[in-house]
Amino acid sequence: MELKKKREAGSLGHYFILFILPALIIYLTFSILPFIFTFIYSFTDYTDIKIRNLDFVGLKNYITVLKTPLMKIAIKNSLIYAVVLTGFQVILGLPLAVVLNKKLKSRNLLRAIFFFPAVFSSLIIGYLWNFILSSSDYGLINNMIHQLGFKTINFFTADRALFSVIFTQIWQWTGWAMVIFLANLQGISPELYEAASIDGADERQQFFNITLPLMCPSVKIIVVTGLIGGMKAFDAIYSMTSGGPGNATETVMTVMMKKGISDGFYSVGSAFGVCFFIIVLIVSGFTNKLMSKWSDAIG
Amino acid sequence: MKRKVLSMVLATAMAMGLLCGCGGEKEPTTTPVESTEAQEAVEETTTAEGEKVTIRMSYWNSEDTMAAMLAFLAEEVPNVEIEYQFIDNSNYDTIIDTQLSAGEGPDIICESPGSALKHARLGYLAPVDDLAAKYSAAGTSIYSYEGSTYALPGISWFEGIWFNKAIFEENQIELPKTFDEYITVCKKFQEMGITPLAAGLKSWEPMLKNSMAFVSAEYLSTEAGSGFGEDYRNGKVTLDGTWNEYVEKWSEMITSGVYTTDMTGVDHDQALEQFATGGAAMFCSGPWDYEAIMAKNPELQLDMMPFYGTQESDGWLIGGPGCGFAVNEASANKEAAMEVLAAISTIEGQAALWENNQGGSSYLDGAAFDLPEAYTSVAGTLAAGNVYCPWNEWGVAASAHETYGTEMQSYLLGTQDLATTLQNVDTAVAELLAK
Repeated sequence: MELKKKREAGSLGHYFILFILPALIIYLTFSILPFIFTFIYSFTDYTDIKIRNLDFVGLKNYITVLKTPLMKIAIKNSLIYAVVLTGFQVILGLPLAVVLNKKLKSRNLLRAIFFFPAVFSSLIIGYLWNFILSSSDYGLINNMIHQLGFKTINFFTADRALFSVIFTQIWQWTGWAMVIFLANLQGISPELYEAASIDGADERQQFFNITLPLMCPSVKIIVVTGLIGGMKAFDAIYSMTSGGPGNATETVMTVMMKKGISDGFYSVGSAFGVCFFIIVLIVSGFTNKLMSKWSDAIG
Repeated sequence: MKRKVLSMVLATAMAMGLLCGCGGEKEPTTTPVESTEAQEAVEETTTAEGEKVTIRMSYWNSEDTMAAMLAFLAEEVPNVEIEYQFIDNSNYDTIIDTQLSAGEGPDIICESPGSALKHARLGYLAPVDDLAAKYSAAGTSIYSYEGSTYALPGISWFEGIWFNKAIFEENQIELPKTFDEYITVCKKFQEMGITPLAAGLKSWEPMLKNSMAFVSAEYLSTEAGSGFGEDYRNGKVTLDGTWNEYVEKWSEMITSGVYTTDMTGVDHDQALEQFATGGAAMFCSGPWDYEAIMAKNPELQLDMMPFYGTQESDGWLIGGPGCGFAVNEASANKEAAMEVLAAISTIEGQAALWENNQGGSSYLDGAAFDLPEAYTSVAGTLAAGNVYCPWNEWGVAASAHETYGTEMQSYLLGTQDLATTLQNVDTAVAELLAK
């Protein structure tokens, strides 16, 4: 009997085209093509009033982006949002994962509880927290504060609103980070801990010398996806503050929606999109480099 | 071998499925509620009767607000089937703009004055001059562009100050007749431990409307201010330098603690709840909230008062034509759409439209309706025609009224002074006008 030749990776011949074609078409149509058009439009005078016979305007739209104070506020807020959210996801998610990796009776229940908020849409979470944080008597927290005899705390002042939104997102996404960390933790060989115990290392030393260095891959995933996702924040902001009060919580995406779409400045919106793409590219490139260095250092 | 064949069949099926999904009809826009069944029903009616035309009408208000009018049109124009398409206000302009620029879009479009002007300028709308002649100039002028009218005004919207009559009577407080009296009334309530005004300042709308109503009463309605709107849209004047003294005076609403920074943590629905359940004496809103307020507290003795300037007057309400009915120039069923507009432009049509929008008034000559009891204290204001919406005069820069509202939030929070606030609005308006 002739033995079937085992097919090796990459030897699918022309078949592979059939498999990748659907995804490739979707990717090209909905991602690459719009980006190319966005790039082209960013050098034109395309608005909702002028939609045909577009003229080339050079870097005018990019200068507008750099000169508009609202754009600067948006970029600053997006960076704060991305860094604080990602930072807390790691700081809170990692120890949580370590604790819930131990043999606790309630660990499955606790894992489910902490992961539960991530199941919902950020819009729903936003509307829910909107009610909880309201300064009116119907706001859950302020109602309790009033009953204790204290004055109203407004969580949506110009200074606090952005951090109130970030807080809700930390609450929602820490459980998700915990699950990624847990998956990584479960891949660490128990023999390493046994060997460390024999050598006399206590739990703290084991955490810092074994667990933490070997968590590099999952930390990298959380940091890179968290920063990119944070920079693109829209739904939570939209549902909780719509960019307000004033412009206190405007982010890159909310401003792009307002200026680029609602106000009909399509070309300026496109230029803003291209600038944003470059910023995200730099941030993720820098993060990748940093994480790789960490990875190399422990490797 | 079998696996190979199976994988090829599956992959081909997936690719075919994708390509089929990408293709299809050129008319992809349907309401979320429209199912395949509804589509089939429309086709069935058209084919069975042969001559029935199906047209699409879009609006940012839900179908409930048009129920009586749609029923009237079904009887009055039996050869036209209307597919009502509700599009949420936050995305309305974007969706309509996209559809119109692609040469598609609804046959009848409900337009705000700003978008009507823009669409008329781009040649998307058919002129409706003959029908417009049946309406008062106050309703049609804001839909006019280069000598033609492009939309017919619907029932007017207005916003005033809802008040709880029982709270006023129990505390023996008289209704104010001027802005200063209004502030005094608010202070009296504060001294009694009653919140004078419930306001959801998380939204940019309340301070926009409240302050603009004061400026309307104090300046825009005077001879000196009557031409401001036209001059502003022509770039001849700015808010900064013109409105400062009026908004400065209106700022007593902030300095006297009627509007507080804490209110930026309250949204519209929460403020409505606070007022409806007796937690505040007043609440700024319009007829669209009447049902919601009464549903929360059917015992509430509700009335509405207007906004005032410093001089005693009939008061002012912020408002204007709620929606202008326009016909898509590219519509394949333009005649049918015009037929529908003609039916709306009758006393009966306006009565049907008013049925679900009670409180507002019609701009059609000869159409007048009784005012419900809840509007007793604004009857004089409405009779005097003191309903005005300043940003309706800003032309293509009308959407900058949102910037005005958000800048006023920053002003309330103390992050910028009044001059900067008004300058920022001027900048946004200038950008929009320069498009």
